[in-house]
Amino acid sequence: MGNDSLNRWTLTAALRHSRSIPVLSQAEFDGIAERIATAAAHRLARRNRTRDLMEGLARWTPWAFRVAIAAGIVGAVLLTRPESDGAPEDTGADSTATAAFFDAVAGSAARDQVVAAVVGPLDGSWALDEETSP
Amino acid sequence: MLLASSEERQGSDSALGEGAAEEEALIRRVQAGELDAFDGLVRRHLNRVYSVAFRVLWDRADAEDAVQESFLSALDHIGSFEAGHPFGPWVYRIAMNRALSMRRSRGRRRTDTIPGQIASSEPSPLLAVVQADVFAQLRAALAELPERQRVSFELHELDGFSVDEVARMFGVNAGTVRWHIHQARHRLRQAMQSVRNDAGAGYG
Repeated sequence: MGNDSLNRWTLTAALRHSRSIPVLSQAEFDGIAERIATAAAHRLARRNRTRDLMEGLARWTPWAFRVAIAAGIVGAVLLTRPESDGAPEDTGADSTATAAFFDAVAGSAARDQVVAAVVGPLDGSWALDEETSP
Repeated sequence: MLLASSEERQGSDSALGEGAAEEEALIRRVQAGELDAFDGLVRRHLNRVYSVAFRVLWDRADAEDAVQESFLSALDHIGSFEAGHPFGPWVYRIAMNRALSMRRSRGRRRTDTIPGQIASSEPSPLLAVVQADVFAQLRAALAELPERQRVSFELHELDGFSVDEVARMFGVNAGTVRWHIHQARHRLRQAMQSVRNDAGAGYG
């Protein structure tokens, strides 16, 4: 009897009988689907936050670059400016400008007189040399 | 609910074919970030993805985990998916890779310990005993098969996946899957024959 019954079976039928996948009940199906939906909602929320952050960065990056460049320029100016000790700076530019003024307005003799009047009391040898010069 | 027969599954496939436009619309909505649409995709493919995972893992909890991870992985990459293509084969392949990976990390085969579903409707106690023997032998023979042969055979013969679908899951061509199925069938027939001979001697 058993052998006859076995002969009726095809291999696939026997396997289908013994190896069928456990059937999911509707409740189990819904449970899995809801679990996936919950996890997907978390994932989407996280993705949206990341996207917002990236968009914000993209929006603000040009401004950030401009601010950084401006700050860099200001910083460079401040860092390269020489430290001041309170004394007036004796720059070549100032002397050249003064000489040019006298040359233009009063000539070199007038310049020498003005310079002698100002500097002379502080440096008598220079004034003496001027007076004794031929 | 998980469909019980390949005929029902194939009927479901044709229904899915008719709903291709609907599925495409769902995919586009998911790509736009609509969660409800994703739930629709999940419910549309959950049974078959579960089949794929279960065939590899043979553990309900593991299969459910693999299903969840597969759908979430699909969600992560939905932006690069072309909406005009069928979603099913894509997510089946993800599920197959996920399940195989879980199985490797698990490091052992559970098919040896799978309880058989011996729910005979036959009244005869003797027949029930014979069936139990047959099923046990078949499970043992299946457990001896290389994994790809076994999974290809079961997905095609028992779960109604086409050869092409199985081939896409494994990332091989259809001819390879046909060969796997042929080999599996051949070995199982041999096992079945020996059981018949034993049954003929023992019970006949």
